[in-house]
Amino acid sequence: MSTQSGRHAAQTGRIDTDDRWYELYQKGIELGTWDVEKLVEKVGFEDDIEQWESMEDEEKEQWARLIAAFADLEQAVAEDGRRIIQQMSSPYLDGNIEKEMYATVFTMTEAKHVQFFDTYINTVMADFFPQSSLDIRRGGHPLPRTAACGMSELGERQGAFMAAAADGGDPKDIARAATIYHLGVEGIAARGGYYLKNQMMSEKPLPLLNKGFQFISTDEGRHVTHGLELLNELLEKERAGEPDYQGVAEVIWEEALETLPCVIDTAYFVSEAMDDPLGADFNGLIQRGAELWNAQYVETLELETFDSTAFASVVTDARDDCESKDYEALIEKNRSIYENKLEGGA
Amino acid sequence: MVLDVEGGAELTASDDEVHEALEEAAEAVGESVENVKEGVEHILSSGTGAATNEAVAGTGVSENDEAETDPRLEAIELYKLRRQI
Repeated sequence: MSTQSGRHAAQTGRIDTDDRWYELYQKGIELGTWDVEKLVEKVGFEDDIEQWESMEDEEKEQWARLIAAFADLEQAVAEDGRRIIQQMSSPYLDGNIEKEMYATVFTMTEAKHVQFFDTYINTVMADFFPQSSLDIRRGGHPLPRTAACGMSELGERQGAFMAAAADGGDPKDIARAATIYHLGVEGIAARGGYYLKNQMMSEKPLPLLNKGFQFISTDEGRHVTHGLELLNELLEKERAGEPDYQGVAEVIWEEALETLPCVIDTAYFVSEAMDDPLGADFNGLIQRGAELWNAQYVETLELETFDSTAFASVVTDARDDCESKDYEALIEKNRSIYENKLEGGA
Repeated sequence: MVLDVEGGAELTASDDEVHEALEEAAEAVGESVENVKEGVEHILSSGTGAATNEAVAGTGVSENDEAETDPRLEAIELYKLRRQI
C-alpha cells in the first residue's frame, strides 16, 4: 500500500494505530519529548533572574508559594507514574498494548516536570528556596510552603489511592485513584495553578517559567484526557450493569468532593491569604474552577449530580476554614521540621 | 481552525492571520501545514476539547507580555519552539 507521497505506508500487527490510547501515545512522542536542558539553553535564565531580583519580597513570596506546590506535586505524580503503568494492566480495564505504551510516555513527561521546577527554583528563586533537597515522601518532607497548605494533603491522599489501585485494585479503587490524580490534581489543581500563573505573569512576567509552564500544561492536557477516557470506560461498564463496576460513579463523586477543599485551601494560600500582591485573583480562579469542574464531570463524564450547587457549597465551607488559618505560622512550623529532617540526614 | 475554549482566552486573530501563521510555521519547521495544524490543535485542546490547555489558552494568557494575544497564535509559537528543543 502506498501513501499520497508515493512512499510505502507503514503496517502494524499487534498495535492498533486507530486506538484512542495510541493517539495519546503518539502525541506524547511528538510533543511531550521536549528537552528541559535545551529549553533552558534556548530561552536562558537571564531575564527571569533580572525580573526576580527586581521584585519586592511579598511578590517573591507569592511566586514561591505557587511554585513550591508545583515542585512538590510534580514529584508526587512522577513517583506515582510507575503505578499508572501497573494500573494499565488491570484485568478490570480493557487490555491493550496501546494503553501501556501511552503510560510509559506519561511517566517520562512527569519526570521532566520535576526536572524543570527543581532546576528553576534552585537557579532563579534560590533565595526563597535555600533548601529543597528532601523527597516529598520516603521519609522526607514537602517544602515548607507546600506543607502549610492543602497541596500536601492532596499529595498524600493521591499516593495512598494510587498504591491501592495499582496493587490489584478493583474498579472502584481505580476510579478513586483516577479521580484524585487526573481530575483533582491535574484537572482542577494544576489548571487552577495555571490560571494563577497567567494572572501573576501579567504583573511580573518570567519568560522561561512561562514557557516551561506551557510545555508542562500541554503534557498535562493529555493526562487529563487520559483520566477522562479511563473513567468513561469504567462508567460505561457500570451503566451497562456489569456487577464488578457498580458504585464507580458514587466513588468519583465522593473523591471529587474530598479533593476540592485541598485545592481551595492552596488557591487561598497563594492569593487572599497574603493580600494578593500580583493579582492572582482568587475569585476569578473559583469561577474558572467551576467551569473546569462542569466540563469534566458534567459535560464529559455525564455525571448529572455534579452540579454547580455542590461545587459552590464546598467552596464556601473551604473558604471559611481558610480564613481561620495562620499560614505564616504553618510555614514556620514546617520550615523547622524540614531543617530538622535535613540535619537528621533524611 | 475550530477551537472551543469556553471561559478561556478570547480569539482575537482572524482566520486569515491564523492560516498565515500556520504557513509560516510549516515553512520554518519543514513540515506540512496540515501536520503543524494537527499539532497546534492538540496543544490547545489535548485532542478532545475537554482538556483545555490553561497555560496557553486559558484566561489571562493574552494579558501577558510574553504571550501572543490569540491562543492559536501562541500555540503555533509553542509548536515552533518545541521543534527546536
